[in-house]
Amino acid sequence: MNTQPNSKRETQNPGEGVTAVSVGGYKSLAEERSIEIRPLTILAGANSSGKSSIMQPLLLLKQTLEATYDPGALLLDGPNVRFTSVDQLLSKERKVERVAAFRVGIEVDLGKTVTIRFSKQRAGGLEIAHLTYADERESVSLHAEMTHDEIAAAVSPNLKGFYETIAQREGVPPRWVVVRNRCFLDLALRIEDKKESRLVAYSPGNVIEPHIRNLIHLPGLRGNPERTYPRTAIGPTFSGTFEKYTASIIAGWQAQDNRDAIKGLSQDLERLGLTWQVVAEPVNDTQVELRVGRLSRASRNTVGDLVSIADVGFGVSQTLPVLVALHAAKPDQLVYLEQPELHLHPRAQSALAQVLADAANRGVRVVAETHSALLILAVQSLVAEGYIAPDKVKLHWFKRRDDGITEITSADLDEAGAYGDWPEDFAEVALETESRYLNAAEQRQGQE
Amino acid sequence: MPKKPSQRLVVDASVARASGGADATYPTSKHCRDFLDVVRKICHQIVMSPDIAAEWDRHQSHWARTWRVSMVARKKLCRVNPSGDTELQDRVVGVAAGDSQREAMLKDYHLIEAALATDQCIASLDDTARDLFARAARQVKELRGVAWVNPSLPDEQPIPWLAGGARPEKTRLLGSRPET
Repeated sequence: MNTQPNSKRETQNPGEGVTAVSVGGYKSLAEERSIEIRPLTILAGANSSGKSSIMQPLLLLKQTLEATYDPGALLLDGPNVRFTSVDQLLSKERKVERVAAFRVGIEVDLGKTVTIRFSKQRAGGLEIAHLTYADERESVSLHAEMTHDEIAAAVSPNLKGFYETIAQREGVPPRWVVVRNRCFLDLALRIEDKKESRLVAYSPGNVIEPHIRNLIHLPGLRGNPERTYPRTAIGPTFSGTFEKYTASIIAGWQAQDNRDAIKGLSQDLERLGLTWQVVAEPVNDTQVELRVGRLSRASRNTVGDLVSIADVGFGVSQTLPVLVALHAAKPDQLVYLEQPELHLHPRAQSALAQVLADAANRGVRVVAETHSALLILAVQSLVAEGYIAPDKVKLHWFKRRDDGITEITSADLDEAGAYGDWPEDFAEVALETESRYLNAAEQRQGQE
Repeated sequence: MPKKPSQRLVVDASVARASGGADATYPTSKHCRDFLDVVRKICHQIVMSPDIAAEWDRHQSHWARTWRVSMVARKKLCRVNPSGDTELQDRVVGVAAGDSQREAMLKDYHLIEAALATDQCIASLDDTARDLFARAARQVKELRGVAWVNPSLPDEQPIPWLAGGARPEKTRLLGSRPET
């Protein structure tokens, strides 16, 4: 278990939650691909280019950790990601992995990385083949078949001391074993005289587990607006997808008289031109109703002019969970938003950039997967205007090669909000579309 | 389209205006759009001095604005602030025969300034100004190496010129232009 050098990126401070994700062997990410996660991370690219796939392994880990039973190495069919077979998530192009397997590496706090390799079992399902942990001081590699002697030869002096203590206490030498703990591998001591007795000595997965559990996930499909919503817990962790917590969190803010959160939420809603107020009204002990201002701006005449969220446009019901998630998230907490711009008018898409930037400036780590050219351009504008520092923003452009394998081009913004060369940008599509129309229209008008 | 060596091109606002909008006429508009599109795809840079930027702000079409945003975002915009060599300007416009020619040359002199500060390439629809500066080039040697291309004229093969690296080919230079 060697010491490995590590070069820290200079743009961020330590203690920042998830700072990078690497995935290989997973769907179109057949070759290993990595993305850096900054406070405002934008994932862009064509449909089915691999944007969601880079984040899905984190969601698989989340739903595995949150399952009320032990689902094995990974819960494939859960609230965040839904598969019915291992083959659905493994890459069809196995150029890197010779066997059916995929890897996910998660770096937290700039330099502490846990990498897990899941392989397909012959009997069905997945097993953990390897788990490695590396930081700037050490590198630890565990695999399920490790023998006592292999482990004993590799453990750190601290763990050797732990071994000696247990051996003395029990009067018999224990055996080192690698055991599965949900989606992680732990190092444990098995005491031979006591069947089933294991003492967990080292859990490298603990480095990333709280960050995975705390991940807030808002999928692209955020449910239909309802007359009432079930009451839920209100954090700080949110198992499953986030949208079902929205109404109860707002009710909780009201009950706690959390004026900052309520005011911030109202300001964001108004900034997006959706409504000027949202109120959560408990119906009974199990249900909460969400009522929103019927008009988009506050005025003397709008006081009390509230209607059920089910009676206004989709924009409010689909965007409200995004805004609440961003206000509910703590610094360093990862918020993964799939297409936050859905159902929003272009003006609101542009305004949404400031909402994301506000959260990023509070230290929340926002990962937004988007198809909105306006949203990206508005982020560039905020950087150029000095509203958010360029080193807080990272752009990742996803594209599939002709052989179907995803490639990612990553870009930093400079202080002018410019990103330099990208393989493609939304402007190209806009220019081509406008040119097509202008060529045809001007030609026809010239004939009149 | 494969990338070629990049040149810093001065693109007159006349090209930006003709690329779309109410005044655009076919096929000039299409030629201008195609020209700018190839500039972007080949990764040439465009030169923006304060005067050129002001002209673009006044005249650019919606299409040209989108194009310019893309160029800025891709860091393909070269900002210059020419020092304002009044002695050279006086020599250039001193060639004018009368006030109207003098005004025409002064109106577009910012293109010459920007080109001399960069790679000496100008794209403009203004053939009158080109002829005036070509005449001046006979007396002012600094102008002779400036290439001037009209994107709206397919006979000048502006697109192949861009694709070939936008080199200051002799036939395009103000110093080589036949007298009109």
